[in-house]
Amino acid sequence: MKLRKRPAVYKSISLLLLLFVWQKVRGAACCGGASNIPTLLTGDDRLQLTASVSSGEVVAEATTQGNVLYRAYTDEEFRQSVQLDGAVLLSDRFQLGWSLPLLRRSRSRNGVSEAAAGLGDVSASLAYELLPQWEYSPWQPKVFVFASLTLPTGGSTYDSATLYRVDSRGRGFVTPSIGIAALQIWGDFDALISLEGHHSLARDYANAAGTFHLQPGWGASGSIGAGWNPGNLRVGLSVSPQWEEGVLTTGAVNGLASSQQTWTASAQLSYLFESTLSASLIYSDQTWLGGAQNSALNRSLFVRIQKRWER
Amino acid sequence: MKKLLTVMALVFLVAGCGKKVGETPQPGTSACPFGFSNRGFCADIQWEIGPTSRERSAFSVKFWNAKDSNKVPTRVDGVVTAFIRMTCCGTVADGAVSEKAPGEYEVTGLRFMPGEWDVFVQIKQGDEVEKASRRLQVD
Repeated sequence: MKLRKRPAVYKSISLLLLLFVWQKVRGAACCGGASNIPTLLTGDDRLQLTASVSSGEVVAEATTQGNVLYRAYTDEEFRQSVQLDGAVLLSDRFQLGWSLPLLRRSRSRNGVSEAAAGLGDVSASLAYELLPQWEYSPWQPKVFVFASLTLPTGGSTYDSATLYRVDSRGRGFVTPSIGIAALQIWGDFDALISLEGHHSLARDYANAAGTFHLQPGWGASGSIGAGWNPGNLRVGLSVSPQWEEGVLTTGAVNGLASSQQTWTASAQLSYLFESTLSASLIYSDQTWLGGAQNSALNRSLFVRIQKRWER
Repeated sequence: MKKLLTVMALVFLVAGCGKKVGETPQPGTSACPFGFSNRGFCADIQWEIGPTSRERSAFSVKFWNAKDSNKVPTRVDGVVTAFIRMTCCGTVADGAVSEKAPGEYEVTGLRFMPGEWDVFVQIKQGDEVEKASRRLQVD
């Protein structure tokens, strides 16, 4: 496989950029949800592996009308995760990615507690570098297009068997998605933008009352961010909106659930230990920006270690 | 950057306007809380546990002839089932139904989340299904 070399400016900085923007954003407590923006190789690398540990608390609920109701101190819901992401170059411009999340959810309300842990929704992606930078250009960003497939390995509220449905670690639908991502660097500064759309596949759910045909709608997520890279450090901020149309149920009962919407604000501090190894600390908050509807709102802390192998 | 953020905000706000919840419960009356007009039955439920999210909730349901003002329990022809649906998200779950006496049933094992739910009681006979529901708020 003959591979080209990229402009040197991307060699170190892209590693930190990647940690910044492509993070999973978990959605509603009742219904599950996650962005479908995959891990991408944006630098001059052939392989990268990322391990993430996160801990978050659901601090509020956004109603279907968009009102935010903060939870009482007697109502505690925590979400922890360990996630292993990878991306490998298939050819000069094609790459394959994957994501394996392990999740633990717990909730305690007025002294009644329940917890469950297990595999979340796994995903795989194929990305293509649509607009490479053969030479550095301050005007032309690097652009990637991607397609991903998320499988409902984490179960969902429909499949749950516990109180508070804490064993629901996913959306419960096979979800294909497509998207585009672009990044640009100017000296010590960088900017990123990504947009993804998806439409999950319908499924049937049956119980003693009958068969329910569940038809998910359209969904989209995006991210826009910027960062400053003094030396081996990177400080970044991003905003990540996510929207999911409600599930249409037909069969034993007919109904259309309300759509969900969240805006996640994130701040990140990354450090490049060596040219192929970095760590990041990320804080994300879904209450800062408002605009949420029909969703549980989280505050989370992520720690990430990423190793890459150059071409 | 500001323009880009504005465009993204508009896209997501417009897209996120969302549709209203599709099905609303049939309006019951105090005389006939759950009405089964095709079969000429009324029903009412009595919560034995809950409704609450902190444990599995249970209720008893009693059927009577809609013309009977004394509400004497009456056996219904068909299979009685019950399920719940969360209005915000469409999550559904069923309960285990057992017949306690002619026209009287017990529904157990209902797992609620905090929020607004519709409780459905239905009678199924062959392919014919008639159901009635009431909306309630669960803590």
